[in-house]
Amino acid sequence: MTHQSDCRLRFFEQILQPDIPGCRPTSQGELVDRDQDSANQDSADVRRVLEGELQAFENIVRRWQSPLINLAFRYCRDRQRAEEMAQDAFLQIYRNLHKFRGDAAFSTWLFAVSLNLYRSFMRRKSLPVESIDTLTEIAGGQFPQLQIEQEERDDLVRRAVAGLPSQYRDAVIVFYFREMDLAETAAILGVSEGTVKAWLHRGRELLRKKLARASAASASVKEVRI
Amino acid sequence: MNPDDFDRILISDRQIEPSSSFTRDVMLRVEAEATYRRPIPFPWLRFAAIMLVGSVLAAWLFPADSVLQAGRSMMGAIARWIVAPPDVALRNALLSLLASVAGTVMLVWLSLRLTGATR
Repeated sequence: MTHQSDCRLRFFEQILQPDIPGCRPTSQGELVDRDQDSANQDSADVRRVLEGELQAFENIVRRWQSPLINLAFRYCRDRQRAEEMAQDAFLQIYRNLHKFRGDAAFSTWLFAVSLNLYRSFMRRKSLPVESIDTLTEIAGGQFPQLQIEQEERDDLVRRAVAGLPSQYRDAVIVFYFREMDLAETAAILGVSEGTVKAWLHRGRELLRKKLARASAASASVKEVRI
Repeated sequence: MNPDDFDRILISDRQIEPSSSFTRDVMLRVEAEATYRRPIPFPWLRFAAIMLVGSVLAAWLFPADSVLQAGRSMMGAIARWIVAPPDVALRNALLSLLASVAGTVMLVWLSLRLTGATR
C-alpha cells in the first residue's frame, strides 16, 4: 500500500467513528436552548396570529428564519435553494398554525413541520445530491497527502451525509443540527430515542463503509497509474 | 484528527445568514395567503348524513314493494308517453329542456375542472 492511500484510509478511519455519542449538553449558537422568554414570545405571537394579527407572524419569522434556512441548507447545500425551502416552510407553518396545540415546544413543532416539507422537497425536486463514490472520486485527486484544506475535507463529509438513505440522513442531519440533543431529535422526527440511535448508528456505519470502499478503490486506481 | 472529529465536522456546519429581503418576502407570501378567500367547501359529511337519514326514513315510510311497484308503473308510463305521446310538441319541449339542463350541468362541471376547483 502506498503512503498516499494509507493516509487516505487513516483519514476515513479517524473521521468515521462508529460509536453513537450520548446526549451532550448544548451550549452554543442561537439554534438551541431557547430560553423561557423566547418560548413565551412564541406562544404569545402564535396566539396573536390566530386572533388575526398577521404582523405577529413577522416576529416568528425573524426569530426562526436563521435556523430554518440553516436546516434547509444541510439538506440541499445551496444557499438560494435553502432560502426558497425555508420560505415554503414558513408558509406551511402559517397555514397549520391552528394545529399547534402546545403539547411540545413550539420549536419542536416548527422543525417537524419544516422537516416534512424539506423531505418532500428533496423527493419532488430530486436535487442533485452527489453520491459518496462521486465525492470520494472528486476528492481522490486532492486527498493523498492530506494536504486538502480542513474546510474542504469537512465539507466533503457533510455533503456525503446528504446522500444517505432518507431516514438515516434525517436522523444524522437533525441530531447534529440540534447539537446532539437525542430527545429533541426523536421528538422532531416523531420516533423513539431508540429508533434515532439505531438510525444514527446505521447511517454512520453506512457512511463509513461506503467511504472506506470508495477510498480503497480510488487508491488501487492510483497504484495502477503509478 | 481525534475521534470526536466526525461530531465536530457535522455539528459545526456553515452558518447561513438570511438575505436582507427574506422576512419581507415571507410576509408578502403570508399576506397573500391571508387575503386569499378559500372557496367554501361542500359539506360532504353533512350531505351524506342527510342522505342516509332520508333513505332510512323513506324506507320506513314507503315499503319496498310499493316503491318498486310505483317505480315500475311510473317508468312504464314514461316509456309509453315517449313512444306514443299524447302531445308531440309538449314531448319535444320537455326533451329540449332536459337537454339544456344536462348541457348546463356539464358546462359548469367543465368550468370547475378548468379553473382547478376540486369540488
